[in-house]
Amino acid sequence: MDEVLTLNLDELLEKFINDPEDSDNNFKLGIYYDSIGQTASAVSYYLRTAERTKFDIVKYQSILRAAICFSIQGCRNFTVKGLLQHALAIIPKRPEAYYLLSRFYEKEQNYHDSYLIASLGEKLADRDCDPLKLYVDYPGFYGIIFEKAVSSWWCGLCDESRKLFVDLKENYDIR
Amino acid sequence: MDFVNSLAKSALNNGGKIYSLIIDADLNSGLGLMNPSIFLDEDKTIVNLRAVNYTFYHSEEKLFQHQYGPLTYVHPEDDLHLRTWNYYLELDENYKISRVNKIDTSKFPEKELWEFVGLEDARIFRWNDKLYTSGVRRDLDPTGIGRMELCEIEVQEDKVVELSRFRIPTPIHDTYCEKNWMPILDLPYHYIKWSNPTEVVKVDPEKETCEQVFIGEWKQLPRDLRGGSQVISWKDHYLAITHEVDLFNSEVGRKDAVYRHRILLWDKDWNIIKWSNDFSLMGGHVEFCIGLALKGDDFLLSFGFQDNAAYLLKFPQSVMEEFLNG
Repeated sequence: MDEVLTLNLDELLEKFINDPEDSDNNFKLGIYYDSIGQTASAVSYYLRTAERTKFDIVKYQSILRAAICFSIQGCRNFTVKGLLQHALAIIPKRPEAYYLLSRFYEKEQNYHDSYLIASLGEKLADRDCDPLKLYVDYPGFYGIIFEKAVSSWWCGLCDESRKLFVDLKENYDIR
Repeated sequence: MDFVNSLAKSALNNGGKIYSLIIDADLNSGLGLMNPSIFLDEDKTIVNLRAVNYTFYHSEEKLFQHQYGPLTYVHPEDDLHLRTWNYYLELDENYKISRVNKIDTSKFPEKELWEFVGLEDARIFRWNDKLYTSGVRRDLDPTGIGRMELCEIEVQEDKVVELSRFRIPTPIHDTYCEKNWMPILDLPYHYIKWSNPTEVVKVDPEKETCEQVFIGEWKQLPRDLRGGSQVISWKDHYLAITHEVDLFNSEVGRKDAVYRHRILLWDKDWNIIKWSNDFSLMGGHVEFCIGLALKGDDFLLSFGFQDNAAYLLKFPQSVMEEFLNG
């Protein structure tokens, strides 16, 4: 990300024009536009990146950032949800999409879906994977447990919720 | 569509340059900026920039489609309108934006009777000492009838104001939607309404009329030619960039599209005498040129990319000739 931001937009565009099918050229433009708040432009380049790269981790980050761009724009929840679901399908072993999707459902007060996704994440996601290169508003694995604790309460699983909150307090480094 | 040439790539390979046209994200909440129209207004380089309340979502390769399909316009979920506003820009000698004003249309409050609101894809130009924008408006009735409008704007010290608005009637037959008429810069109040066969119309804002003044011969081309840039004079000919669209459905029946462009050359009697192969502007599936100017030895072409970004491409005349002769 830092490398991209040292380049100016005109240079990034020239690289893109020379090879618009190159996923890296698309990715850098997505990051650049994202960094200056031009989220619509960023979405176009992130989608193009995800559809052209051979690396799942790049697809995953591009789709998550596209979801965040729509979230920033506001009032586009249906689209945000669809992108988070795409991301989850790309790498089901990574935790970020579980957290973001569970949080999404929680904000919508769709607690059963929030609980479902957090529970799947707790069981399936890798707790110790390397961090992503792009910021996706993921706090750490405790985020998934937190979402499960919140959503379980509203699903009527109050004992489970209490236990999860105690677990969070005693066993996780929550900053 | 098969692979086609990229005009921007040829431009860069021949000493051209690409410039981004971005206004502060706070002005439009980071939403779509697109379809800029450039015009050389004496010593000023000016642009009309379209800003919208939506984000174009296009899964070109169909791998990460929206729930509504590969191509959709993502508007706010509590506002079904697709809204357009226009910004007046001035560019400095390095084609950086030196002035930005949202065009004040308060004299003509929006009626918002249909989903598309505002003046869309406005070309900017001057006819008889009056500065105009001209695009399509579809919000004046509940069925979305589209008509070209010719709007006089005035650049004041600290604002840009729309002074008048002329909704252009159709010249002969009533139609549902008229758009992308190309203003002929050297022929005030004349547009190319349709490119193939070429149909030229003359409008009169005072009398509020529109009449057909020329209809040419149809040429064998693979697709309908739709309007694009303004029509400019070049080497004793008229020249414009047109666009064409392949509209198709995805395998599961959802709409999708690919846009391409073409250069069209007319003699002074409006006979089409040459056209280029179709080409891409920068490699995207949806691109749209609505501005063309000749400055010194270079062309300036302004275009939107994926309905979400706006660019200006400078290139020498030799590139235009190469594409026309290619």
